[in-house]
Amino acid sequence: MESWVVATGLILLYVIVTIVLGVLANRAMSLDLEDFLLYGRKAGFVVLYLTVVASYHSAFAFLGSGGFFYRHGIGFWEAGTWTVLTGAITYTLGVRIWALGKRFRYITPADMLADFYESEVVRVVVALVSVFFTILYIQVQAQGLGYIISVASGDRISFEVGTFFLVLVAGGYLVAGGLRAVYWTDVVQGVWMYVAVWAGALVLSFRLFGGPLELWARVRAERPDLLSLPGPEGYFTPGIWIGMTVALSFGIILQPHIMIRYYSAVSGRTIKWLGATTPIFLMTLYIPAALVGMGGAIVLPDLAVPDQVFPELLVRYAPAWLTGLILAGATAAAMSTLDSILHANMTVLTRDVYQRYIAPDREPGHYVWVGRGIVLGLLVIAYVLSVRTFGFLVTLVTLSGAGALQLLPGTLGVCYPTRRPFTKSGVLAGIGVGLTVLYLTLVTFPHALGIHGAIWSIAANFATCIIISLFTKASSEETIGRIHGAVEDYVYGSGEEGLEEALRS
Amino acid sequence: MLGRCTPEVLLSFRSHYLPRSRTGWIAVLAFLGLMALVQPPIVFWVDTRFGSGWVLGMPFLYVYLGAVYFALIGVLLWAVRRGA
Repeated sequence: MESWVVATGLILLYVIVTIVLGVLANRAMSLDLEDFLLYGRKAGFVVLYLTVVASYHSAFAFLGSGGFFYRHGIGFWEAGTWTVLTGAITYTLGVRIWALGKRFRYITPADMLADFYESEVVRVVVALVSVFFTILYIQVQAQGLGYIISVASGDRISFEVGTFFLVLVAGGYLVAGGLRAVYWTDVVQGVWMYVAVWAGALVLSFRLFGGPLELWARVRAERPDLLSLPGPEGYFTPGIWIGMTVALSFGIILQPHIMIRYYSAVSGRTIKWLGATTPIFLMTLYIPAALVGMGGAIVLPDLAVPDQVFPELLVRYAPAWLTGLILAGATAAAMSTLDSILHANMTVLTRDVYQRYIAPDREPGHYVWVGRGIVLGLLVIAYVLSVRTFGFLVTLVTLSGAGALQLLPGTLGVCYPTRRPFTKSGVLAGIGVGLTVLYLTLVTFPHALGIHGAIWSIAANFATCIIISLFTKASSEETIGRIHGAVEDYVYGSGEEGLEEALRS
Repeated sequence: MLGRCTPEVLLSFRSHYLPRSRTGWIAVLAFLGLMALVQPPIVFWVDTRFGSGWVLGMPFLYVYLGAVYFALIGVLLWAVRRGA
């Protein structure tokens, strides 16, 4: 049997497994909106762990990281900074988001911000910013899926057809089983991607170089420029380093697919353990990615698309069955993030726009069906974007994170009580100025003075938010007292016991 | 419908950005200190000074960053076990 048939067949086998899980999840699901959107707020540690890491790591980590190591060298190992910082943010901020979500039955990030700032404009702006910037993330996954299937099949299945098929599958099981399907498939996908990237990197290291240490020795001898900062093309300057750390930690955490995972946890303790342990998975995935990227730079120095280095190496130098299994892992990495973001955007648009402004007071089942329709619409957008525009996967994800980062002042204002809270005018003005500065420092004056656009934009956002908040009216004392009181009580008072008691009363 | 806090309690809020326990202070300072080691300017200074070095058959920077990342995770695990 030809090797491309084996590799593509194993990817299809994996796809069938996810479809079966989606169908099973559908049977376990009730037509209850909280179940469809938030897993009934019952996600335990193991499921939540695997769904968070599977959602966080995507085609970006599996394919894009190899491409960045390939082109820019060891500087991309800074990825560890944002993965570890993500854990700390989950530990401190995530647990507060969880507590407020449980206490006040929030479902979307916009629910929380609109409640605190007493503003429907805040709700709509947060919803639109969330959806707009995560569409870029959807594009990354769709693009990654296309790369995988076209390389695995030796271009017998085109990038466009591969993208279409796999995006359709991810949307299909999401539409069938809601967040339950996403979580169940994420469990499989999380394990599969981790094993696959390590196995692939080690097999290639031994086959091509005799082992990882020999690989490093070859890199030192042949491409020493890859082993120092700021890298062969001077990419990793201090300003870019800090900017990527911030955009890919805070910026990803603030995207709706991660915030919704906080809401769905069964307890705050689960969130804290999640924060302490997810960096182990997230960070260590980049260890083999470095071997892939730098090994690829030695063996395949003239790749037209660096993001394809991992699948190209596998197809050329690994056994067909192993290539299929590993590329199925890559497919898992992309699909697990794709389905999560589709689900989150569906939730935001259904809850924050459709249910509130277009058709309130319908049966829960009605909204479930509308959500399914929204998923199909998003899939069309993702497909069109992925086949019409191309960019480095890492660059696209960083832009996505930098956009979502603009929600940081507003979110901190809700979750961290202060004597002088931010106001809705301050938050809205901050988002507006932040997005404008982001555009200017990415497009008009790219990374001005060597500082990443994410840093310029969030600095401008914070400054604007603070200044405007000094001169505008804050939310009512009742609202601030209710929400900040709940935070104070949960974090420094009666904890989860008090939270349960407050819910019962 | 205040949480479980009265307005008087709200007025007595202390900053939520600063830890309120010894464990919390140790965890925050250790985490920030370690994070500074993998951020500019320190990481660039380390690369310039020791970047050509080699540790256990691997590039110094690769080992250095990895070691600090594991130490950072260690701080988080320590904090959660201490209930911070």
